[in-house]
Amino acid sequence: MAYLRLARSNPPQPADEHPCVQAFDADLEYIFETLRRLGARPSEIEDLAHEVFVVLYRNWATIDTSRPLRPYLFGIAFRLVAAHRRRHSRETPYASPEIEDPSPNPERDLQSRQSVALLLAALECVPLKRRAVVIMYELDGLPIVDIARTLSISRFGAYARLHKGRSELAAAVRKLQKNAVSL
Amino acid sequence: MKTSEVSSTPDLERLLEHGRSVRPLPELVRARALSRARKVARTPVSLVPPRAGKAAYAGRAAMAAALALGIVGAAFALGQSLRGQPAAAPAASVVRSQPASIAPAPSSAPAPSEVSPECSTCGAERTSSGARPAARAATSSGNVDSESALMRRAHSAYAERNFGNALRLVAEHAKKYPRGVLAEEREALRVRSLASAGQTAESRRGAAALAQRFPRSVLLPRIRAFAAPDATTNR
Repeated sequence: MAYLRLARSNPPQPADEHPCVQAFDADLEYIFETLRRLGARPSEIEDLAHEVFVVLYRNWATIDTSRPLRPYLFGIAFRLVAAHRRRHSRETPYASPEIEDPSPNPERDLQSRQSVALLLAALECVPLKRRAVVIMYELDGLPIVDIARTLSISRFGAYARLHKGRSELAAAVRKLQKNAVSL
Repeated sequence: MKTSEVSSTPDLERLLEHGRSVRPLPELVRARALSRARKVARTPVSLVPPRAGKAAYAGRAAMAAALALGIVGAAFALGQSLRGQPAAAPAASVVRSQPASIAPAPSSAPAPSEVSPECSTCGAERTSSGARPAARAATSSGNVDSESALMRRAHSAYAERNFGNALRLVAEHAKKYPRGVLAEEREALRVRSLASAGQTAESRRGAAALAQRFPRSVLLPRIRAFAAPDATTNR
């Protein structure tokens, strides 16, 4: 009967799952990654992802589900992170230890992890408004029209932010690499 | 604008290439996030309707204004009824001025059936709920002046350190107006007079009675200080 123990059972799915939960489930990794890229702390990401779902659920009736959901999710995440940062800048919370997932993951190699860590650190140096455009364009691969619509800005504004954001990102990468070498 | 020409370095391109991958979530984190989401989806939350823009704010402002007006109106009506004057509906005042529960209605007083039909219900309601304020107004409106005059005399006697006279006047006030408007002040003065006259045990009992009858009185801390065994500086 050992083979039965080895078989991984699928997580129980409620029969009448709300379509909003299904959509959230499908893009959960993207939401977490987006929040991480936007500069949310690891200890805050789960709560912010839940807030994303709450916003999504409340507005589900008004969403055009025939269109891609990711730009919409990015817009929610961006506004939530911006509001969270504003709130956070007023408050002075106690420092809490940042808990990373300690479980070993063979899929991640060291170089990739270092690169992602360097990129996230460099993104931190870019102001949030420009960082959002850089993430959407460079990492998510969204067209500039969708970016402008998601962030409620003009196309020219989106291009301008992208131009300056890329410059700042490149400068931040150079600076971080230089510091790493000198250390 | 060609964005690919902007600040494109090999290092940055390599980093962006690595950054494009979306990392898989640990199963535990995924399960936790979905569990929280399902809980929200199960709860009957009032879904937000599509944004109505300024109309939504206007509606909220109108509701707030209506609420504020209602509160002000209720406060005004309450104040009027406590003073024994009708806030509205003069026809109902006929019924309120002679409530059957307080005194038998004289022949000149109109029966409830004589009240106009549109006001008969409100008149009846006010008779039942407003009987106490009306009676209180009838009994106390003319007596407040004499009550305060008596208390002024008692205070004067206390100020002249004539505690016996002060206690006598306080007793007279208690006899005439046992539930008067100045009952709280009277009991406080009694305790102070008793304490000043050296009747410590009596003053303590009076302080306890005052605390029991008026537990939220602002005079209590000072009265307790008076009734305290070693309170000599206050006298």
